Amino acid sequence: MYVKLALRNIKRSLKDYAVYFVTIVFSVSILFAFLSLGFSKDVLSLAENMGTLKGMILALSFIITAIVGLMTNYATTFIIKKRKHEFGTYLLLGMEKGQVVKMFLAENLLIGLSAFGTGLMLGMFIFQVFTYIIQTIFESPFTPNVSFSPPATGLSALFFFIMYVMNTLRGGTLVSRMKIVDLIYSARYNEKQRIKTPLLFSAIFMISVLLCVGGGAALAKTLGLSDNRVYYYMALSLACMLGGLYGVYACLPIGLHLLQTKIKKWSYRGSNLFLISQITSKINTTGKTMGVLAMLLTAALCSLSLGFSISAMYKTNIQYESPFDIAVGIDTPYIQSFDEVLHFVHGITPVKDFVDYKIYQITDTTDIRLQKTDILRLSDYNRLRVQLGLDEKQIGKREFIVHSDTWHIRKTIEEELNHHPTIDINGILLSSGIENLFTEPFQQYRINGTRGYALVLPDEICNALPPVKARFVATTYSSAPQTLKGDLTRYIKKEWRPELTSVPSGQSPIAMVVSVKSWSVANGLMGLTTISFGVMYVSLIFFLTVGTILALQQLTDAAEHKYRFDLLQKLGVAREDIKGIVGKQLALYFLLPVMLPVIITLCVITIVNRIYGTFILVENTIPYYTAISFAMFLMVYGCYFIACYRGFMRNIMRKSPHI
Amino acid sequence: MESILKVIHVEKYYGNKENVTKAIDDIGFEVKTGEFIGVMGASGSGKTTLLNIISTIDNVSAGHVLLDGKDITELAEKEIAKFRRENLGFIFQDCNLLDTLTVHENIALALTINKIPPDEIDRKVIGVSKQLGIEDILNQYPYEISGGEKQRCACARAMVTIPKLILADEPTGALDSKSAGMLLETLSNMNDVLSATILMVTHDAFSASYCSRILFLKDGRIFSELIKGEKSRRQFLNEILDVMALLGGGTSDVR
Ligand SMILES: Nc1ncnc2c1ncn2[C@@H]1O[C@H](COP(=O)(O)OP(=O)(O)OP(=O)(O)O)[C@@H](O)[C@H]1O
Ligand SMILES: [Mg+2]
Repeated sequence: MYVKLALRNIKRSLKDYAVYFVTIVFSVSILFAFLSLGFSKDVLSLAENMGTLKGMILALSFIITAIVGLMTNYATTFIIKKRKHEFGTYLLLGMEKGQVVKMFLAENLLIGLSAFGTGLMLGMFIFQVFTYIIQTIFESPFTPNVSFSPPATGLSALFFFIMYVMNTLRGGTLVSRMKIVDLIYSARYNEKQRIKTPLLFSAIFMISVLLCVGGGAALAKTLGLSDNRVYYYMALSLACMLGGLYGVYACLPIGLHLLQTKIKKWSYRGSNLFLISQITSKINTTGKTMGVLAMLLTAALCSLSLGFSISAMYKTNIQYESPFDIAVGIDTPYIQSFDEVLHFVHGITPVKDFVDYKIYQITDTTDIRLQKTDILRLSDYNRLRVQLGLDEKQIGKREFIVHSDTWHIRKTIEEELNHHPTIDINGILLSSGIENLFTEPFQQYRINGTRGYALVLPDEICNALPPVKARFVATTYSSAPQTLKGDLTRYIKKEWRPELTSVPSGQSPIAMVVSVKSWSVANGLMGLTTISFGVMYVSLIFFLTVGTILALQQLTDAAEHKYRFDLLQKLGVAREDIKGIVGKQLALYFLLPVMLPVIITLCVITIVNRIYGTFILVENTIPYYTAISFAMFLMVYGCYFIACYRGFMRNIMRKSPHI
Repeated sequence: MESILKVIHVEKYYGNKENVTKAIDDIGFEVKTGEFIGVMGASGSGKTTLLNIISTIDNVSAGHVLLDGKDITELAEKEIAKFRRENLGFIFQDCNLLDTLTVHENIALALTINKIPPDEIDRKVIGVSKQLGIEDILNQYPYEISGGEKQRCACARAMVTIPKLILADEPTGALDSKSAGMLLETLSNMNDVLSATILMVTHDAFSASYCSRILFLKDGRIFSELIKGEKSRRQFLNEILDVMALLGGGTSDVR
């Protein structure tokens, strides 16, 4: 009989709280899929420093466990509250408390275990999709590998224990502590309504709004700073904004309530009265819950938009970063030749072609466009173009070329070329034009033009200029191993030119760059993967959590709602109109907690775009990925809304009075 | 006849130090086996509180309650559950039927909890449901039957374990007069035929007229007591109405 009872209860729970249990399954599957990714040998072997991905997944898993744990905690408390009367009845019939608790635990653990099992299966599938995506990113063939890695499975079980089983046990303790009087007469006592005095309320509200706006302004200011304190201030202003956000939402129902009493005319219009009273009926909890949800949404939306943008930046930078197979730069003219370096590289991977050259600068000039500007010899420039498979360029004796692969300064350069196309090199006038501006990726900033562009002058003019930096570029037959970057750096610093690192005190050290294309590409891809998967991991879970809590709140209040909606129906409101009111009520519940987070996210994105947008090599990256993030969010949220709407209609239209 | 229930100087307070509500203020009375006791009084007079104390749902602030010679105010948690299932049956206004179980299963659950051998359970369930005229709805779920039928199911569940004392809190509160009449007939039948002791809280004079004795509460104290004796039900009803008038609450505005 107890078994039958427990099974029936499970069936009912699964029906009434379907959204919640489906979310548990999804959470487990996402957790497991990411952990499997973190421990997958196939994925970790794709890049030398792929360990970063593993570390990030592990760290984020803790945050996610905490958040899902919070949701489970909320849901468990909610479900227990709804079942109080039932538990009371068991006790009334003479069941011992231990027995009731045992039954509660058995029911929930059974549901939990099957959710965990289903989650693992689904997670295995998601993991395959992830592996496919990542291997595609790295252009490596997809190798399906359906095996449950012990550490990933073990950790998933551990995290599941923390976020679900522990909450269930806590729920059991909660039940065992309840007194039978409270259980039986639970429905009688409503939530105590305590409205703070309007003055205090207004003060809190104003402070919250100020915190929000102030946080935003501080963010705009501090992002411009260029020292390390920027992170500290950034965290502080974000915290201010989130705190203010919470305050605003916590005050919202009270505000609505005051509004309702103040502005009678407005609240009597249409179904306003009914809708507002739905929200204000639980003044204290509704606001606080909404506050927490809004904070989660803001965090998720911001990190998703920015994370995607940053990984997109990595993606575009991959091609710009290292167009040359191997490049070495040492910022001193006293390197005669790179023969030994060539020899070293050749020992590791056969070299097809190479350029060993210098970069020149004009020492005394009043033209600020030329100060500290890197200058290339035309013959070197053409040799470099050959390395990249580009055509060679020819110019007249009194002409020059500008090369700039950096889009945000290109406009300025074009303007200069149109209006002041002449430069004076030690008394010789050279001219150029828009047709002599080239923009192919050229590894500027680090190798060929530290200011983002370089001038290319005829060889005989360069002969009169002092060389300031030594450069070496090599093209290999096949892609060099990723480890070459580390090996080559070590060789140069330890064996070839140890004097480069031992700088006498008081002198600034000589800058040195070693770049290897295969390493840069793998590193860029790793960064792209880590960041985009990381933000997806966190945001997905946050979206699920927010959707679940909202849906749960609505669905489990069904008994109460059913009564209210029955009343509406009796008062003569047609079924179609009821559908409309339900739609409006749910839309209100689902929209309210997103409104401010969306506004705040857009503000943050705008600020970040204004300050950092120029550093990204492709225009409008941030707005584009913000749109994609919002679309993803809308999809998940929309699913929850539809599920909630359908469940709600089923609840208020069904005959049975129970929940 | 021996007394099955003794209430001795029971008091019950609610609230904190500054603001104390005396829900029960020094009440004492005795119930003999086979009696059908009614408890009446205006809203807030302490009826439910008294019932909760007798039924071990709530504990006393002071005083003792002896049920069949056992002091229930001194029972430990575990003993209380055992005591409850072996000695008490409950009927509440909102029935407390479990809606995941059919009527049959609801009644059987009470027996299962009492550890009655499984092969006896069905026989007992069918027997009691015949007495109450609910054998046709045994396989329905609680939300598929009417309020009156639900109350009778709750009765059946309370009776099936043959408890020493049946406690009912406004069992007719939500019923129309016909269903209420049927329920009261059932209760008084249980009282006559099975000699079950019943204690029923009600605010309705008509329901109370089925009882053999009525206690009137006012502000947590026993205000007066009526015994039916050899009077007809009509006569008894008039007496009840008189006391209620004295108490200051009419039949219609007691709640
Ligand atoms: N849990 C509680 N906390 C505080 N006060 C309570 C509590 N339960 C009852 N009271 C108070 O004790 C008094 C008696 O309540 P009780 O429920 O026994 O009344 P009643 O006679 O059953 O009324 P009714 O006819 O309305 O059901 C009332 O004043 C009530 O406000
Ligand atoms: Mg009462």
